[in-house]
Amino acid sequence: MEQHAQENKWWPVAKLIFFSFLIWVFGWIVGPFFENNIPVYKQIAHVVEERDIDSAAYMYTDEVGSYDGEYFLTDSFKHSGRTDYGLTLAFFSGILSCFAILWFGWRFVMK
Amino acid sequence: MAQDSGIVVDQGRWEWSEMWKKEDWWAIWIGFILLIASMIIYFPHSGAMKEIINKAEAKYGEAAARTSAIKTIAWYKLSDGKKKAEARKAPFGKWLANFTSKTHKWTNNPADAFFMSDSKAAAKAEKAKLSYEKKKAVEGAAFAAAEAAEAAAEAAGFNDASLNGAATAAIDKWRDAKLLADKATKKTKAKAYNQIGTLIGLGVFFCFLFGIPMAVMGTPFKKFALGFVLVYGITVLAWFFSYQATMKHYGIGYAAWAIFLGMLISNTIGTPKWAEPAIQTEYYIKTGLVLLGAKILFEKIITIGTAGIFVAWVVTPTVWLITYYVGQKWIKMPSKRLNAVICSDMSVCGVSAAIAAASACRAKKEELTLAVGLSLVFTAIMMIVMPAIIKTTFPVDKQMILGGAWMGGTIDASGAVAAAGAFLGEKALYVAATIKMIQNVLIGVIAFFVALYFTTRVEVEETGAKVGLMEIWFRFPKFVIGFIIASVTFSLIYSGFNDNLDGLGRAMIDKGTIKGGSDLFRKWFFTLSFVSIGLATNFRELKEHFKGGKPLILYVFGQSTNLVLTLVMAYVMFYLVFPELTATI
Repeated sequence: MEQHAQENKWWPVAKLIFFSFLIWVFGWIVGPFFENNIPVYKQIAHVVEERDIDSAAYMYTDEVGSYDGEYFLTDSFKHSGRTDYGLTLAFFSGILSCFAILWFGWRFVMK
Repeated sequence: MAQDSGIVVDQGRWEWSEMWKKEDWWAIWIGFILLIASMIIYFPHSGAMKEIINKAEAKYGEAAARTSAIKTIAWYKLSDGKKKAEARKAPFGKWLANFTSKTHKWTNNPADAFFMSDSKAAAKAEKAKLSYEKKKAVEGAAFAAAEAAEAAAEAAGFNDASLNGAATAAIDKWRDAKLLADKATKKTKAKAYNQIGTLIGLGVFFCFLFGIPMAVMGTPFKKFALGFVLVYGITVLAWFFSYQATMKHYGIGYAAWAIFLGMLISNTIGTPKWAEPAIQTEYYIKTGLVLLGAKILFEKIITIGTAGIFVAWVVTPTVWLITYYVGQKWIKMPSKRLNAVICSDMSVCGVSAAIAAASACRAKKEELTLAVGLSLVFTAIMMIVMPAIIKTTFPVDKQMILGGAWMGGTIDASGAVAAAGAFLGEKALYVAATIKMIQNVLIGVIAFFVALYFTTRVEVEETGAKVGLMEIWFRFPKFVIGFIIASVTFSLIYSGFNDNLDGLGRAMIDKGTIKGGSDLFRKWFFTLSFVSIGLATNFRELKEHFKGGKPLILYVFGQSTNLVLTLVMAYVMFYLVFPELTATI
């Protein structure tokens, strides 16, 4: 009975150690294996390293590429001098469409 | 702040004391204290930033403006010069970045995450120099070729299409080479570090930042502080694992690790009772969300023009509604909240949208965990599969813009979007990341919509009580108001700076109060909340929510719809409706 209780006491710790071992297996054996054997993945990992991309970022401000992209595109459009860029009627129709879709959903879909 | 059932429930009657007794309000106070502090730190540097921008304009402005037929070398140099204006580079900004810094990247030696000796840093820098010199030489050659091609195009008055095309191609090649050389330069500047002291100092700061309001709300500071040691410790561990090289390549970030490590403890050795006062999921999340509001800047939605707004702002709510409807009517999701959270993370932008929607509709912790888990798994898969599909099936001339827009509109996480975009090329990265950024701005709209829907429809259905305007106010999650106020305020300030001088908004807000202030804290707060979620999540309960695989079916259906609609919309808008504008990218 006492031995059984002791086994139960150690079981959670054993589980913790086992799952920690799984992390190690993934991080140092399985992960690198896939990385080295799937060509597309290998290339993406290379790009991530070379350009220092934070591929685990969740928001645009966590990723330098977002800022660079924004500046590049904004400056490109301004540089082109086109009149169909900016706060045009078409642009506002896009925003209005978004709110119209949500209103439609509110009124008819989510009733 | 009742969390016993896993749902945060507001009391039914308004009292002024709520403003210091409820976490919703404390999230707003803490968030705004940090935002105001950031403004006080950075705004006095606007003069110096203006000077940098004006200097770049004086040096390259005229040369950059000599033609609009192509983007010349001077145009890029002007852009690079303006980018140097970053308010966060002020001395206090550098100190703050160091103080709030996470663990460092490591590959095989875990100690590298926390400290690096002078000799090791010197060896690393030396090794990087070899790679840098090679890349610098490539850049030099590419620059010479770009100069020659541009001179040839200029000699023809920039009127010869083929010479213009050759110049653009040569300049693009130089930009790619320059980007790689710049990244390599950074690595040659490897410095010694010891992160342990600052991590302890930051933990103490957070303990007071959250602990004092907790004491006001009725939890003794000592009890909170004791529990916070465990929560913060696991938070640091989550960052430690997310910065391991392989994990980083797979895009397994801090959210995944925080939930996983928390769950590992709670479902093996069990979450200790003494830690419970610091397991405050909602408190940390809502504070992070108020800070998130500050970077939801409305002016940014204009970045990629009308085509972008249709891809990001028309497809997203359409997919959200279709998926929600299908979830309720066909798949018969037992929980409307889980349905809404999955719709948000799948259609908007993954983890951040899931957090905002879950808080807005008061979803259970297990529901948020499940939605985030699904998003992370599919993000990792799509990050690899989508660029491969685009590269093999899309026409070459459409891979960058159409491919970039498709990935930006469908892959959930920004980092994965950037990695997949960069795989295709610089332009694809820019388009993908920008579409994702515009979608990010939609978080506020969706969160408000979800909060309103659950307050006025779902909760009424659940309780059977009719609600008037005052009742809506009682029940409405107040942090959403803080989120929206932060967003509107910073949008106005951002536009104000840009009106003053083009590029000043970027320098002062993007690369000042946000990147050098709110962002430094927000990620920590989200990680604390994810650790709390993990520590409070029972695997059996999680399994219950997954019964019948309905969440998976819903996610797959929604993402498939998203993939089809985004691709069609991107093609129509970029190539059929606005082809001339697309050609200028």
